[in-house]
Amino acid sequence: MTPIRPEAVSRRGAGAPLALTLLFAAHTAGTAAGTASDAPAPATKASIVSLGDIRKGDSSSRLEIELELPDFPAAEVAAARLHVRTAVDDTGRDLVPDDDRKKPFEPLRQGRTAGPDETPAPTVVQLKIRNPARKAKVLAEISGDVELYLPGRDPNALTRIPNIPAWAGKRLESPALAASGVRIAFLTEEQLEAEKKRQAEKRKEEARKQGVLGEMLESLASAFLRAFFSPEAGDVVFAVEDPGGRVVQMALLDAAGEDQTTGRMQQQGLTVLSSSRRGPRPDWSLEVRLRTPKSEERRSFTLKHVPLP
Amino acid sequence: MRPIGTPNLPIAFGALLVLCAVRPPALAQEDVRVLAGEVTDSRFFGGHQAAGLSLKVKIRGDGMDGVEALRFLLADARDDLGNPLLPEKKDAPAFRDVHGDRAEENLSLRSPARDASSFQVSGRVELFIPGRDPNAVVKVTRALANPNKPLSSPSLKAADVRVIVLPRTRLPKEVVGLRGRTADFERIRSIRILRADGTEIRVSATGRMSDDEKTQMTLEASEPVPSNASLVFTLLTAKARVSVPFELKDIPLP
Repeated sequence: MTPIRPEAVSRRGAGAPLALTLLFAAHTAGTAAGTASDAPAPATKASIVSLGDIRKGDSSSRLEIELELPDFPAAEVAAARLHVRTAVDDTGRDLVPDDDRKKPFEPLRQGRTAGPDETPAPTVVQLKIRNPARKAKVLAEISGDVELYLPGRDPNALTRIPNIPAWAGKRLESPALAASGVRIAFLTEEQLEAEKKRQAEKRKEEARKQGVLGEMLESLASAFLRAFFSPEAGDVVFAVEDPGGRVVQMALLDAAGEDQTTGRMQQQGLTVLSSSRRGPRPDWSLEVRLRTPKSEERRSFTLKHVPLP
Repeated sequence: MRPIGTPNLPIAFGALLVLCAVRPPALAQEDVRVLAGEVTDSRFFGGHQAAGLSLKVKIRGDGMDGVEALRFLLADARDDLGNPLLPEKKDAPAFRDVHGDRAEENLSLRSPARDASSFQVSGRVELFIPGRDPNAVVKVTRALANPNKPLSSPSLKAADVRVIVLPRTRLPKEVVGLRGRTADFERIRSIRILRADGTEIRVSATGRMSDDEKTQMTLEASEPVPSNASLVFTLLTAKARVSVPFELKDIPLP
């Protein structure tokens, strides 16, 4: 990766109504890949593509910002995760969202690779923060980290398990999964039923420890079973153990390598992939995208004096 | 199916309504109240989304009995800094159906100033109450019998609505075609098709081509339309329309 040189000021488009001052955090020597470190990451260029201040007076209100990262071609970045460290308007209101949990990586639309004479389209990521004050004129500062997933940089970041229907009832075997500490089992209907009962028993035990007894205990367990998802025809269910949060995305590919996944759901520790009512054909494969040290970049960004609409 | 990465639990947020009670409108015989509800101020730059202010209004009161449709005709809207919020001049909106007595409507306005704190809007809500005018519903029996001629109906004539049925030979058996002046069709709220025994044939799709002068309309029924079918026109007559002024002030901006 070519080091990014800090630049003092950059303007997005001469005719753009908005002139953004882009400041860059100090370029540190910290390693980027795969760490959840709080250490400052190397800075990257960032500019604002769009900004939406959605004000509704309820908790669906938000300030949405699309950030363009020109140093990272969209065709190379498959997913990203943003962490806002500072967000404040010129009235001093703190705009960092309340929910500051570590969010999962969000898949991005990669687009096609640029031709030899074309400028590659940049990666665009979206972040959501709290609304600024009505009286605010500008975002005084917004800064944070963006983690980028670039699977093309590491052959081990993408593994395919061929003939996936043949794995029903078994744990998938793959060196890349093993290296990432990820265990995936393809559940049969019977195994799913057993898993439901196991989870219900676990809930009952937890409730019992909290003093819930008798009929109440049984009704809690039956309510849990009723709420448990039921796969639709053709859905496939995987039990995924991923203590390091390495799995970015799972997909069903046909024999030609085309993604046939039409729906994804994660519930009660299980991942459900939908394709067609017939389900995966014998020659389909499961593609698992994995974060690996080589496939990740962590960069910091800082924007200052962003005018508000 | 929920995509991976979305929050695990959908949270139902109760609508936080800012109700601005207003005095009953000046037209005292109509107990119709317009109440301000949820306000959404969507402010953008870049991207492709349109900025604007949206106000959900609720229309309540005993005067809503029998109201089949309504529309809002806005006269003025501005923020507390005096900036006008009425959208660019455009045609009067069409009447929209009212289901039950709990009518709601979204009023679309221009974005207020960023540092504005409230806004106001006034105008009239026009109610369509066909029960107030016996001539608002006009049944034309054997309406398809004489194509290419204006439908023969004293009530249509009294309402100055002139409609011509298209020859059926040029259309599928399920389709009834009509043509006439655009201004006349603007006053037709709906058209139903009845069998000879008075039962209704469901219209599954309606098509309309218009210019300033002429309009051609097709009603696509769920079954072949018999040649002895009747057409029932619901007309937006003056007697069936009631106009109620409203004024909403000091609506807080979120």
